[in-house]
Amino acid sequence: MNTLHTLYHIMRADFLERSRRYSFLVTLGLTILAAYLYIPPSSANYLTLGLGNYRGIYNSAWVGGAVAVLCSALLSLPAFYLVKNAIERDEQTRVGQIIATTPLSKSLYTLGKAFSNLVFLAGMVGVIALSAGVMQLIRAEVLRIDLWALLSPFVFCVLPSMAVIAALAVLFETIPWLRGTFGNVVYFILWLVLLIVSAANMPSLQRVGEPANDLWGVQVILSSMIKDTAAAFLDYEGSVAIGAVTLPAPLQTFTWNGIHWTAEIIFGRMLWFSTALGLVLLAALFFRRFDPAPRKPKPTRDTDLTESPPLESAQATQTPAPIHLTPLMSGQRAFYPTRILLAELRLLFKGIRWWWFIIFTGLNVAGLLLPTESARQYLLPVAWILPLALWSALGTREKRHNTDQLIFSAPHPQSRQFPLVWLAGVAVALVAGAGVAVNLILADDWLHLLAWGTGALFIPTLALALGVWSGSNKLFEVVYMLWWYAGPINRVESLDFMGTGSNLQLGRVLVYGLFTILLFALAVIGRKRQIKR
Amino acid sequence: MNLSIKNVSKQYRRDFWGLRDFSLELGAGVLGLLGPNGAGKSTLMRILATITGKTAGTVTWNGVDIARHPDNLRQVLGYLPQDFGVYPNLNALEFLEYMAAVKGLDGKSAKRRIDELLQLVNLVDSARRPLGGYSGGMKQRVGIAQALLNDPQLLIVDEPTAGLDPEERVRFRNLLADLSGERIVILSTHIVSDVEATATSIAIINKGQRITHAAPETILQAVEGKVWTWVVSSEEFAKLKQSHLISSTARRSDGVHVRVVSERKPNTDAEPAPATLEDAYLYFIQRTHLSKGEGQG
Repeated sequence: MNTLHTLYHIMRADFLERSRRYSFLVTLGLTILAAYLYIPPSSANYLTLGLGNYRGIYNSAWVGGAVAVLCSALLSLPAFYLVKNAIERDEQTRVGQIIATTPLSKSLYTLGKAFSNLVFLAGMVGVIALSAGVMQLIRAEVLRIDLWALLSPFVFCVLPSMAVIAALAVLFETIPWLRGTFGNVVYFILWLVLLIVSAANMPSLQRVGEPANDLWGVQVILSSMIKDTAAAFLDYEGSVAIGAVTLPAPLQTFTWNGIHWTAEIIFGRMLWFSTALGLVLLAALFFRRFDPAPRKPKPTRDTDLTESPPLESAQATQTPAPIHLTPLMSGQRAFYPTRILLAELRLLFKGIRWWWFIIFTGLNVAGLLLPTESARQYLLPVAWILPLALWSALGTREKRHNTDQLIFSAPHPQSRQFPLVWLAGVAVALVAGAGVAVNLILADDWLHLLAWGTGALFIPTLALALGVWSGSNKLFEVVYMLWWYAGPINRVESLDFMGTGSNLQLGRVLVYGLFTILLFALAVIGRKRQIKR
Repeated sequence: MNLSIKNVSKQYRRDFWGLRDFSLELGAGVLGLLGPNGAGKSTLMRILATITGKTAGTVTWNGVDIARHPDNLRQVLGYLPQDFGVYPNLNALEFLEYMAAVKGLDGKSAKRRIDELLQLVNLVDSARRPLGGYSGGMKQRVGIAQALLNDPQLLIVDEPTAGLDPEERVRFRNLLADLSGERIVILSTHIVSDVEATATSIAIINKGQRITHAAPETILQAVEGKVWTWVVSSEEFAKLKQSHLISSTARRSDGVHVRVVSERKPNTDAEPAPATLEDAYLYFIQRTHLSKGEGQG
């Protein structure tokens, strides 16, 4: 009883804190908007969940099933980043140190955090499920709401996947090297792999009877839809399309009564909850109860031993001679852009390990030596994803480290320091991609060089704009990874901001140039808002 | 050198004012800004440091409106916020170099100034260790050093001695006294002894409003003849707490030695005692409670 009481209060405090945040409303709004677009009217010439040119009539079962598929695919990425801050917040607010002194066990704490993550995500899923019901009434093909048919796909398919995400977020927070940007990248890759695996094992007519139990729960819903479509239309070949798909033939509808939830299916789905529990218990093993001291003392250099006495005790015994400060002349305070730029660069690179610089040197040498086409297509995307953590600090650093009052009370924080923060980000892009740039110059490939230059300006500007407005590094990291994956890697031409493809057009480069200017203006407005609170 | 604060108000919510109709005229010297928690001290500090905008009123620095021309003041401003952070991967030297660049100091002056400041705040030995490993008091000293980097004409320090050990606290008080000659120093705190040691004038603030602003001697005169001491039993002491403003107590073998601030002689055994700033502070705060009640947010 006491345990439940503790869990309830951990969950409640987290839920209240999160649901009062602006990002919660934005994500909710965007997801509801997506749900709205996902149930197009009959007159639309596209389908978002199409089985050939067939779809179920918009009854509670179809709307619930279709929106649950969307919810799993769309929410599973931002959901992780939204909840991956439960332990971090306790650490930053120093509540963690108080919690650490209570009898609360590590496993109960991680369980409480995972549970509160789940409750938060379940709240979002609940709102989306309700909006699906509203969409059914708006489209008005069937006006009777069948609550079981509407909600069961969310309960059995979406919630178990959210439980795994909630637990993964806690696990990532307890493992030091997964806590920051690297962890964000790892989850993105994991999400992508699971999505690709899920798509590769998409149910088909031939495999309808086979057990399907992917993490996202999409296969359970789709295999039932495929089976019933095949029974309704003999010419249906078993194809499934998710996303905005143009209708191949006039739309035909049928009545789908939903998934027949057998004990086997429900048990399979519930197994994901036990996976989540396993992850939470694993997290408890890594959780260090907010102990700020390193587990193993860092190796001490000989010079440290001779030069540095223990911190506080040594100073307490010293009685230094009176120090007089030399007054500064008024001419000694001016604008030294190079000094600020160098200071910003030092701040960006501080804490980066030595091997990182070796990788960058290697990438630049390879960018110079590889054939131009290969350097542009394969090497540049790699060179411009590695500094992700450096760029994502732009615009968020002051808030994250609570130095904003110091920086914003210095002279000209807007007109002098801010552009140089941006320039430091641009310098990182220029240095990271320098080898490829020289290669392009040597090959007289001026159009791709122009695209390279635009890309080098675009990336830090995007980082700065999203950082300043969101106050967090996560938004840029997620948006940039998605953009990078779709554009430079998968060659969706309109999203290729680096100009890696062969069919590059000057117009597209100019559009990105213009977009960069707009983003910069947005960043400037955002920073002005930060300074003048 | 003049800082003029005229009828400044800051409204946070419809029913909550952080600061209301606050006015002060300041010249060179140390102003001790005293007030209980939530009195509006930090709000005033942030407005003066150009961090927070005001809802009404004007603040001018040497006749120039700081809301319209904040950089005019920022050039000569040193600010130590109550709650601030540092970049954990930088060491003290690097952090101060970064802040010097942001504040627009040239390389040579910055280097000399940082060397002197590191000695001043007693951080020379640990100047090359990452700030992430510093104790709270050491971080506070880094904060003090950064506030003094640009040899500020207006130095605003909000609860500067929080987290400092007694020795460092005394050093910092002496430093403030040394600095006060040719600049305005605003020291915000609720630790009366810090103000007692350094302030050339004192402003008491409560519930967003100025209660008084005067020289320490004038403030002390206001309670002269209103401070009393005598010895009571433990039972009497419990009753006394309900009826009188007690500024200090000490339990001894003969009973509880109480110090009471009261307009009239509170007890036949009570003897008049010389007033301290702490007595005066409690007297002024108590007076506002009695005149306005506790209802305001």
